[in-house]
Amino acid sequence: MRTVLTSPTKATSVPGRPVPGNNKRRSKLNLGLPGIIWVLAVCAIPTAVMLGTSFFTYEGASVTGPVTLENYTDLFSDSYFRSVLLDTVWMAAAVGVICLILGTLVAHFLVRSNSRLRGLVILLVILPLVSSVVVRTYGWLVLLENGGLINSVAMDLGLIDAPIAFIGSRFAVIIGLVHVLLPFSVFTIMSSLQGVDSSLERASRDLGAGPVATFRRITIPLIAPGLISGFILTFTISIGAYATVAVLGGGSLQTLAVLVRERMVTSLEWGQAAAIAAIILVIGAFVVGLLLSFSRKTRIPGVSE
Amino acid sequence: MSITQNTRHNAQSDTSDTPVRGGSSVALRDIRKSLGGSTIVHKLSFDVQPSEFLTLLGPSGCGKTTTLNMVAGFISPDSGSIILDDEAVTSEPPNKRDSTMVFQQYALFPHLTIGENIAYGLKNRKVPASEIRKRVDGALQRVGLDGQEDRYPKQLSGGQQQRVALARAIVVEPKVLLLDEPLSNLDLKLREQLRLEIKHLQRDLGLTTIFVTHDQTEALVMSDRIAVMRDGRIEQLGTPAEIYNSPSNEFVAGFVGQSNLVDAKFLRRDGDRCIVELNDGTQVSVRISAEPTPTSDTPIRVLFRPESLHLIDTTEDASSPSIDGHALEVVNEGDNATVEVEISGGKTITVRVPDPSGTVLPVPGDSVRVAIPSETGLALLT
Amino acid sequence: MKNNRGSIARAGNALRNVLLVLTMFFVTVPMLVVVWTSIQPNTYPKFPPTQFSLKWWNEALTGEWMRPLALSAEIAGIATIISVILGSAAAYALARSNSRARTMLEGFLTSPLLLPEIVISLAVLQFISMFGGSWLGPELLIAAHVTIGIPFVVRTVGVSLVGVDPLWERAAYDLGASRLRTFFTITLPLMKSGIFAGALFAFIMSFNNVELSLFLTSRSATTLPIKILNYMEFEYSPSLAAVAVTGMAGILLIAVIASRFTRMTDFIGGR
Repeated sequence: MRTVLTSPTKATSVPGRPVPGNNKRRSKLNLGLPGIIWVLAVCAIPTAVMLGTSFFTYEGASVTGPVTLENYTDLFSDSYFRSVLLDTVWMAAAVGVICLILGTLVAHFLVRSNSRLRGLVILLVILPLVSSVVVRTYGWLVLLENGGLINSVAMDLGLIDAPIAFIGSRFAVIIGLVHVLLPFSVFTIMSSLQGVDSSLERASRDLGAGPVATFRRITIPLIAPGLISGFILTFTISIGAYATVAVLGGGSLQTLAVLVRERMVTSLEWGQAAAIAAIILVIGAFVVGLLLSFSRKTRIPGVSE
Repeated sequence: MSITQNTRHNAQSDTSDTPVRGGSSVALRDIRKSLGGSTIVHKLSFDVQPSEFLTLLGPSGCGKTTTLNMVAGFISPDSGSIILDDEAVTSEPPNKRDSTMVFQQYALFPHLTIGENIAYGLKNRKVPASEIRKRVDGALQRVGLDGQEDRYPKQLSGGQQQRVALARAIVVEPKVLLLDEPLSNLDLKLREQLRLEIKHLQRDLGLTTIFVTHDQTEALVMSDRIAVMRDGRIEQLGTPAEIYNSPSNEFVAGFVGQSNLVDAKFLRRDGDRCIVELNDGTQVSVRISAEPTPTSDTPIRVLFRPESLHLIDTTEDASSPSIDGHALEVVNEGDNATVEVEISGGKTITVRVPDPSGTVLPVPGDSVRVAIPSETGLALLT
Repeated sequence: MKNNRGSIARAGNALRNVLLVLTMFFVTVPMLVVVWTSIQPNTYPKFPPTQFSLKWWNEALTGEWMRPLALSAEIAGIATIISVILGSAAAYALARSNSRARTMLEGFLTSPLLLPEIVISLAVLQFISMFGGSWLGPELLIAAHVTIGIPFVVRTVGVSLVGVDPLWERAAYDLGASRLRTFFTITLPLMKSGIFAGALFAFIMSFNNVELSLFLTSRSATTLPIKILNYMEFEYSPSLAAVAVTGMAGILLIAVIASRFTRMTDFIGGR
């Protein structure tokens, strides 16, 4: 549940009019200091330090040796790691795209329809947010296991002779992640869609465009920033997701996040774990940067982000 | 316009009949304020008499709101002093000053009921609960909202909300009531109605009031005196009649009321009158302020209010001076009509025709003659 | 021609509705399955559901599971309180400061949400052990959870403060209230819904957290989700379903309580 929340827009102070206590501005900013220090100490500094130490030699848990690229060269020379890296990125991309499609569908319904079922749909979308990843993953396990619901029902019906091994497949992991992340894309796209005046869509219909053409040529361009941030959100969570992959990957399908845990806990290679974490971070930052610059370049003047 | 009589009447009744409570006096002395490198208010001084309704009138950016905020205590002046009832309050914070403000955007607390909103200032003043009840009821009655105390601001219309804001400000019986464009968020009809309500309330209670507006009609209708401001300075301070009839310069003339400014040449002075020659050679007797007297042949400008000019038949031999031109635009508003007349030199002047139903209005293109009754114009020194 | 287009539109609408219904099924079914699994006797529930049993609950409602549940609740509770205090103060500071400082600081305070949690978790573990500490415990979990609680509170309180016109504070000040009194009578009540929403999010994020806690739990201090996860990776037992349902019920209860004070959707969907 990351950037789902709408960020506060500008305060409603009257422009050009002095706000009382302007000279107290500094003292008010001090109120933010404890929070900033906390985030620095428990998040920013450790992360920066780890990025740095991933270029050092580790001995067990302690940083010993000289500056080296060894942690990285070891990783990249390993063909298994390369395949895991590729798997991670494309599964995350697939999850992002599927979430966008389904998220747009649901968000459009929630914002534009006046159906009485809206409340129910909102509830159903919020519910997974409230329940833990672990609960949801457990549900999929029950459904997808060899002896699970889907297989047993399909076999009873005679659709299949032997159970399909869903667990351990990319399919299962993607399904699981989409389920976990769908609410994020729904809410991001929803808030973007709420900013689009529905009369624009009506005007398009009035000018002779069909519903599909209207959606493609009017709605999509206007909510593009929301779509992009929705994708960023689901993608970055996906590349760092652990629980869903660990369970539905059945131990055989791995992603970078699972690999980090394995290197840390099983093989005690802290240096490599740090390097993999750094790679996760870099991929995330790269995709965010790429998409944000794209979204900035295509930004329509006067249309708020 | 019958402003002259109206306000005179108001001024009289203020001083004689009604002082329910003695108001307090406010004085500003040499107030200066700059923000972000530019000076907003220059060495401003003025006095507000007890129970007086004083208006700061001017375009946006003239420093009127800043001045009001300094009286309220939201902004402290760079130099100068603010005196409330012979007591300097310049460095007092707003919560220690006995002034209350009615804001343009109402500023009612959305989470408090109407009653709680009105009681807010009284609670801060540690007024006993039983008295709070009584005074809140009284205030609600005054603004015609009795029985509404349990509703929330969002449930009221804009006009009602502003009445509540007014009640909230007057219920604490402030030494001075500050009105920051309280009517400009309302629609025209409501604005006209609330103008009078506020005026009555202020007069009944004898509240010393400073009112900030950019709306000249509001200022003319409501004020005992008006200070016309521009660029942080007072251009003219006087009664509505003085401001309207004898503006001290072109800015005031242009800002208050509709005005025709005509280029002319000063010829000679005759007491508080003078003779000027218009561009087409017509000589007119107009009023002139006491000092200074310009030298002969100095170019000056003459102000004619549209309602002081008449359209006459071109064949009629005018008994008073007149200018010839032709009609450019004729707008009939029912109770009066305005005719734009192009005169020699490409200038246009506006003439108001009262009660146009009985007369034949010209159509655009017609030749017309504009009569200038003597002593209706005012010479303005450029 | 016209007719044709109309029927295409109708078909499109129908298709959209079918997709919508399927999506909702997709969202809901796994959670229903968990609940169902916990109240039937078999290892894998059999369709159609006919049998009922609470035998898995006997295994679930034991100290082995209730202790991590209590610890999770305790950690989430404390982390929420700290997040709310630090986050609300920061949000107030941001809302009343000029835009450049505000954008930068808000970006920084919400940055933990953009970092993959597993990366933060690893970084914190390595950072701690760099100083020779093997100091894993509830305190460290709380400290870490606060860093992702703060961003939520900053956002939700920030959103609620957008609705607090500084003019109201001026009006209160003008009506004789001191700055402190203005804050407590005007600003705080109006921030309330944002504070409750932020607290709710912070609690849920902490209580359900997996990735951030991954490297920071120890044998003596294991949270419920981590414990379930560890168990699930090696073994499948429907008693986990009962445990999971217990956790979900706890969160739902808190969500219901919190929703009495706030409209959560205000902060999720924007406006």
